[in-house]
Amino acid sequence: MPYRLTVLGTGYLGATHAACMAELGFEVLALDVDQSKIERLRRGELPIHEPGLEEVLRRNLDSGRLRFTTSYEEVAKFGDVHFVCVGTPQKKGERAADVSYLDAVVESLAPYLDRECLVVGKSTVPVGTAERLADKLVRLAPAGAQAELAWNPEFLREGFAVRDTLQPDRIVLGVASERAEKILRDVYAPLGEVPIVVTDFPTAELVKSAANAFLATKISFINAMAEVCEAAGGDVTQLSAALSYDDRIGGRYLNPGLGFGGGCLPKDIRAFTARADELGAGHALAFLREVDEINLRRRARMVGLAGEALGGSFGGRRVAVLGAAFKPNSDDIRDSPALDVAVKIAELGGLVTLYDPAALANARAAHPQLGYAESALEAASGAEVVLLLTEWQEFVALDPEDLGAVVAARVIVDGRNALDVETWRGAGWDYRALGRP
Amino acid sequence: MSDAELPRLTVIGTGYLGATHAICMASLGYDVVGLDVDPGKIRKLQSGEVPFFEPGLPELLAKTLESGRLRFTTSYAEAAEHGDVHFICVGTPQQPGLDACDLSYVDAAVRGLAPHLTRRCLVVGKSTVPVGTAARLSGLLTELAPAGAEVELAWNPEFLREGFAVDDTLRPDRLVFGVTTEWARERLAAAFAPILDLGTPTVVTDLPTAELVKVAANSFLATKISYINAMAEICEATGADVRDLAQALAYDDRIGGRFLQPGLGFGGGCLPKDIRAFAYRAEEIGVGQAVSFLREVDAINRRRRSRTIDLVRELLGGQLNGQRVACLGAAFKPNSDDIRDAPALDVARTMHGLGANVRVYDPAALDNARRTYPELRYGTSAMDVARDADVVVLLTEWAEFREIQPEALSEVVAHRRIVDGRHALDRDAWRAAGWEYRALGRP
Repeated sequence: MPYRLTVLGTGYLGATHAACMAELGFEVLALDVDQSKIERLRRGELPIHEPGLEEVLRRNLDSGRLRFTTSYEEVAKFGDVHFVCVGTPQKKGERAADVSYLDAVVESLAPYLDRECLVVGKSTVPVGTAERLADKLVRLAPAGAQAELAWNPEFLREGFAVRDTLQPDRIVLGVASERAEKILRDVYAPLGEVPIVVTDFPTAELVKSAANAFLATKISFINAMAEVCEAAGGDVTQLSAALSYDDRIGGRYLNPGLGFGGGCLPKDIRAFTARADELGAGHALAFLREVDEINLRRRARMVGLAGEALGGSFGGRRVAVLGAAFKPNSDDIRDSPALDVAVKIAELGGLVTLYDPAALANARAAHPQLGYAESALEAASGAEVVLLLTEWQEFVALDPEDLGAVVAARVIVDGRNALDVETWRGAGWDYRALGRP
Repeated sequence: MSDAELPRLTVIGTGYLGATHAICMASLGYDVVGLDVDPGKIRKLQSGEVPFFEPGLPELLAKTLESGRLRFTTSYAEAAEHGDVHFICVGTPQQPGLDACDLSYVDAAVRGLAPHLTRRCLVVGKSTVPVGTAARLSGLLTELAPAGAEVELAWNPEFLREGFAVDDTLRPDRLVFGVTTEWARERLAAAFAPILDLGTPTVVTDLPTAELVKVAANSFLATKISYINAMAEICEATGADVRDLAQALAYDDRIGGRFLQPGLGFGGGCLPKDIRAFAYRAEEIGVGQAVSFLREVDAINRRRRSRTIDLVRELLGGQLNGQRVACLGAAFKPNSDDIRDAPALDVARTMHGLGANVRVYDPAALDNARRTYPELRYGTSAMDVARDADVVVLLTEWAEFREIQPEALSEVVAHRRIVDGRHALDRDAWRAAGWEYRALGRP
């Protein structure tokens, strides 16, 4: 008989995992402690913007394979394999990750676990967490050592979460027994041929932090080159092109611009360094502090470029901002470089009007002091400078003549090196970008 | 394009880069004169001898000498007379006691050549230089050349990997042309016509960007190596396994498995010097903070060497003094005889300094090692140095070391203890054969 699965936590990761596992044919019961979230999900409504996910959710609600609950007791009774998918945000005022939601799930679930089962952590956690939770689980579960822990980190990219769940690059299984390995291999068997790395708890925990640390490092590497180009008169977009032909380097995540943001990369690298400090290995990750600083300096440089384009002062000047989400195809504004720049310019007296195809409502709720528009052209209307801060396709496709017709001055600062410089300069625009002459 | 249209080339400097470039360009059909100020080097090359280890190059030298398309000289006047395009391929070593690189050879080449340049020609820098050097040399050329502004400068960075230099020259990933005029671009295109005909991608850019490409590429590679070695340090602190970690990361094609092998870290004549010179130059132009992460990259890399020695010491019960240590490897990487800043020899010398009785073997770099470090002892094979050893340390991942059978080595050693500084061996096989096996970043 196939395993029955449960998913604890129905945020971005949990909702995706639950819907996708049901799509693979499993009976899935998902839990959240937030009653209103559960009611929305039962109606087939997603609290997040994720292409394709709502269809998967509705299809599996209709089929009856996917159900939602707020009861730990029901979950414990139902499930053979329990996936823990709660968030591990950055602690307020600290670099470390807050793992209290994880502890809460284990403490709530364990007392109901009275038969053989596997509890599988998917969240991104400081290394060492799994071992601690495994002990807690055995201590609190009536089934004792029959309730086993495994770690199986998630590797979802916002905007591609369904695909990344159903067609992953690889699956990492941090297990303490062959039984746990076999159960997880069975669970993921419907995915077909996917490379599987079987390892211990600490290695499995480290994979996600290490992967995000690498991506952040690669982004900041090319942005550091942009800083050098700005000082040396070079062109970082040509530098990046020349580097990307070297397949030891590769062009992925080598696009110079305003840098990274969102709910993962910044928090993960900070939590990683905090944990390394605790372990007495802080020197190993000291480079990640540089990575963070390079990233934050790009935002300051962007504000500087916009100021230069306006002749030195923002006071009372009209600034159009295109983009609020931390990246295109997302409504996520957590630690968004675009909003950070917009807010800073408003603080310096700029009259900011912002537009984003998906993140407008989130941006408005978080920063009501900014001006908002319903389209790029409306935001740019009467603007003395236009700032492209999130590289949505509809911004990349903007016609310089259309935009030129509504602005007060044809001045654009391209924070993502997304526009064709010749086209825009050819249309009479004063075009500026990070890391280019 | 007919032969008549091919520009005549000269190559100034016949070290590793210059000799490879001169020989390869002649093999493509160009008339090439190679110049060096060292008559000994010129004599060797003229007689068909390549003064360093590089697979495929001696054969190509013999062929091109025979074809008559390749000649060598010590005369700048002759080079200037011959060449339409002059490639500058001299070294830019690290200045003693400084992070900056020493540009005196580049300057000397320009000063030697320029006074003889009486007609329109292109001078092309290939050496790895601090950004801004090309602009300065361009001024120097115009000032010193009788042809004045008729002589133009371009930058065309080299991307050779030792052991693959011929292939990297004849079939590069890409060509970078740093130019200030369309004429210079056309001349470079003519000088690389057979390579461009292969469909090789070309990036045409300005002088500073072209200068930056090489240091940026090397900085990235150094960063990637130190990144996985930093993960090894974290693994050591947590009991995790950096090999599994690297494998899991490599499946992510935004990361990729190239240069993601944990181990003893990088060395050689390029990566360490290039990242230091880059950091130094960034300071000079006021953006030191942009690349201060490179100092961490360097520090991580150096710590791997001391960690390797720690592992040896731990295996020996805490004491190196008087212990017999077999070191496998001296070259900074396999398939090379280059021992510049070689991690292997650094480790061997430090253990020697701590009182260990060190013996070193390397398939290609023994002569270089012996000449530079006569205080160390050397053997004639892996088995020879391992005889009666208290511990074996694998420091350069030559294929012949990877293929050593634990049973065969067991026969000769005093104690079955091995530290694998390059993750080159199968841990389980060695442990099964009764060896105490230790590696960086693994339990």
